[in-house]
Amino acid sequence: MAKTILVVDDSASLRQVVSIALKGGGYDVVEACDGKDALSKLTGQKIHLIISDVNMPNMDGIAFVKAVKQLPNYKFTPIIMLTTESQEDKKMEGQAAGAKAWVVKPFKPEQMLAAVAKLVLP
Amino acid sequence: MKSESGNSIRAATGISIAAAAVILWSSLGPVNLAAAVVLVVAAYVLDGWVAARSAANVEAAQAAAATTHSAEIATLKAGHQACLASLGQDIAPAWLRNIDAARQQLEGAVVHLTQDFSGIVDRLNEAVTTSYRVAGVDGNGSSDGMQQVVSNSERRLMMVGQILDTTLSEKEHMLAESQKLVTFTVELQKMAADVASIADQTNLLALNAAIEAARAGEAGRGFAVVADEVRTLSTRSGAIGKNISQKIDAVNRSIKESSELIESAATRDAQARIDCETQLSGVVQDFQRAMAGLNESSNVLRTEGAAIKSAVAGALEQLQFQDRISQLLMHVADSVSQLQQQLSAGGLPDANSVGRLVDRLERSYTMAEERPRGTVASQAAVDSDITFF
Repeated sequence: MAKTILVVDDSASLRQVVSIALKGGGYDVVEACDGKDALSKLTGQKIHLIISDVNMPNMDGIAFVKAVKQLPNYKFTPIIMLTTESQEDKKMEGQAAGAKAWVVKPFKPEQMLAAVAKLVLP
Repeated sequence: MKSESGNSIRAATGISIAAAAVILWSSLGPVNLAAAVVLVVAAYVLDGWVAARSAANVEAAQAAAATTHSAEIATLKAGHQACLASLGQDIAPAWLRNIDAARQQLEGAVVHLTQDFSGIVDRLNEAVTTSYRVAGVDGNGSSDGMQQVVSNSERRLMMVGQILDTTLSEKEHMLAESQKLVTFTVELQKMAADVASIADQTNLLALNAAIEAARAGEAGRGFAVVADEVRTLSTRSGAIGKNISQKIDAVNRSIKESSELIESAATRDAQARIDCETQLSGVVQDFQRAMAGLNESSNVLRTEGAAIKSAVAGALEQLQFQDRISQLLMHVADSVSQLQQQLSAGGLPDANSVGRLVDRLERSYTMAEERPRGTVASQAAVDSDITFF
């Protein structure tokens, strides 16, 4: 059974690019346009990994990661931050919030798949 | 300043006049000199009056010019403020609208492009999968693949050859049996000849018996009847033997004809078997050539498909620049919006307010390429940067 990955980004085109890359690797994809939308998508289905942008309206990526880590069912779900931010202090902020990896856009699809394969829950 | 300048000129004029008087004293004499002095003094006084009058005029002109200048500055300032207000009310919103429209259009176009690329990859995968399924070389044990069809066809065609071989073998066996029959008929012919010979000898014996019965007279009458019957039987036996011989000859001819027919058929069958094998081999080779072509086509499709997928993956990577460009535009739009708010609040933007705008813009930067060149190491934006925690 295919693993399901939640992709959170306010850019529709970026969500689509990530989805295509992940579907090419055999994963199912659920999309959300910001942190709040993503939290609503976590109920009612099993998510094996989350890929989230950082700068988003309504609820940004760091706040979303912190919120996810408060959820009992998703406390250990790996989260990859996918962002244009490349500053070390931002990365440390993501790490402190609970993210497992930090990917700077633009990403190479095969590298993203390798990162997902390394982190996705069994 | 102007008055001091006028006094200096007059002092210089006085010194010049005194110098001239000394020179004239030596050349004109005291009377003429006195007249000249009077004239010079008069000129000097007149010059002072003119200078004083000029200074007053200059000061008045300067005051008027200052008033005009202040009015002009006020007009310019009002125009400048009106221009800035227009910038805030008219141009800045237009910039923001255009930036937003650019972002929306760019996003929409990239979404469509991405969908198209995704469709290309999906259709390509389907084409490659179908091609390999049809060729039957996908390594999944597919039974309806062309490879399997060719293999099955070859096996069935070989079975046709085996059936022909069996038929040919049976005909050869039939021919051999027919040739055995010829041997039997030779023996039968000999037996028929023996029967005929026995009949002749019996006939001769019956004739002798009839002669001896005639010699015996009345006593041999009964024996004469027997001898006559034996003679009749021997004659019939001879006729039957002859008939058998004729029948055997007829059978022998039939067997010979049948053997010839069977032999001829066997020869044709053997040739047909060779022709059939040649044709079947040709058909199998045609199939195998077609199969090889199909396999090559499938391999080319797979290779080209992989290349296209790689190119599409590269395109998907490049399309992510839309997100970066969108963020750049958003930061510019935010800054324009802040400038608009400042201008709407009234007053001219000063160095502090401009500095605050620059500071807020720089704090909104997320990408290295947003910062002025030289302030940070230029990041290779095309390299994926992945950090695991």
